[in-house]
Amino acid sequence: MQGADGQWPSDLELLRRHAAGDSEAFGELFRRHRDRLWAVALRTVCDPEEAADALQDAMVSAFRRAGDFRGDSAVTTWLHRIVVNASLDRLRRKAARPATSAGDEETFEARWAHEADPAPASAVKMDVEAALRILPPQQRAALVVVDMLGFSVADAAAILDTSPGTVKSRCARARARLLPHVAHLRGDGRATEGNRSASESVSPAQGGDA
Amino acid sequence: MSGQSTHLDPEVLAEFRAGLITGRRGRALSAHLAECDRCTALDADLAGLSALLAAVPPPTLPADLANRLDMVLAAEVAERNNSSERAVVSRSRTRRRTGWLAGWAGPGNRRFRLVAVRVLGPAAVVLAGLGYGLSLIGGSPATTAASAPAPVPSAFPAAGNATARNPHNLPRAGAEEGTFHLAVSGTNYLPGTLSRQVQAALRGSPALPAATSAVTGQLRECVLRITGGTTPVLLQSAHYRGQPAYVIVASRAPGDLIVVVAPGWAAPGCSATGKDVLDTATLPPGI
Repeated sequence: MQGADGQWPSDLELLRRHAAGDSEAFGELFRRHRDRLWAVALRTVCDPEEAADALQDAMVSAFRRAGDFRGDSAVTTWLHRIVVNASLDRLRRKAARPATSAGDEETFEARWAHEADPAPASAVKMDVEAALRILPPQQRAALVVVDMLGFSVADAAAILDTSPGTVKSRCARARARLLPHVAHLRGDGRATEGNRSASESVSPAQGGDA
Repeated sequence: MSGQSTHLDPEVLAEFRAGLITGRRGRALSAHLAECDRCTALDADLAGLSALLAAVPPPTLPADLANRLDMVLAAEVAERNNSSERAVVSRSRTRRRTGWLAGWAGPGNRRFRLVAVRVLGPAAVVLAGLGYGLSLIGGSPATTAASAPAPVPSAFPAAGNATARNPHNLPRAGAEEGTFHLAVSGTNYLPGTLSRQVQAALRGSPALPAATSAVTGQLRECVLRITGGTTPVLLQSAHYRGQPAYVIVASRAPGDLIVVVAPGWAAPGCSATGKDVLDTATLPPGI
């Protein structure tokens, strides 16, 4: 999907060059995808500092494990998989740490507050990303990959290292759980009468003028 | 069954939407949806939720994180190149666990040998950090390097240096001269001993041939901006008072040797100013 299509050298070529000892290839590959990989890490981990660590872990891991890439999925899928794993790993380690409860929350909120984001939809963005925190990590990762990044269920299954059925199930539970927390965000734009087509719902980025 | 007479549970409905409920139960749900406005509205809400999630603008990669990733990657490349040259040690070094940041976060937690030093001339300027300290120490035309948003005229007139003329020149583009390398050091530089420690670093590390990582990307641009486009003699990632810092050594003028320290990982967008500089020093000539 994203960017890599049509670029030369291809992702696969870059990965091969890297495995063959090319010093520049991995950097070029990673820079192509790192914005998106950052989105995955940040939304899965829900903490900028932890997410930064996760992305760095993933980058180093991908750098070293390039030889393990078997070519049975796209390079992007493989990279996303490593980032998701690193993110979930960070969350596990964080959960294992003794909680400093309230303090953590405060720091977290403060960090979000400090994240400068001039985009008009930033309020919605922050609300959604804050709401994501209520989800269990596995469900959140599935929802991020499928609904927020637009991967197919099949690709998401490869990224999340599980079956398509499990991806669907995690997404379904995540959506049901998230719904009450973001319902207010759509109040101003959406037609009241039900319509099953998702595309007809007004996105927050477009405001209510659709 | 579920939902013929009562309203649908959101999770059941979400599973139904995801195609997980089929057969007789699925038909029953369809039938219920057809005649229940409330559940139809809930169904639309679920559809709207996915659309909403898809429309959330993606976060932008923070500049300091991009710098940090560039640097970590450069260190990885350096280490790999280095290990492949010295096959004896490579196994244990490359097989270590991940957890890089832990290594960075604490002083001297993981120690790397100094990877590369290229000595360009009789004199060198030493800067630590990606803060733009030239203005602090130069008091010379070098001050322009501190705030210019783009590569500036060289504050370090190193004769014949390709990079000085073309800071964006990629190593690949044939300017081997403009290539410089990242060295990772376990040294924890300290205020009182900065000058001495840098001298020791310069003396103590043998210059290695090209088996090191060429610095590219944003880190490279930041460094070149600091040096005014001159290839640094040394780019080192180390610590200053326990905090990550860069050390940059570059030739400025004969007999002129300068040290500046600024926070590592700094230089968001390469716009750091003098206030980010942690320390400066001038080295005696003749190193």
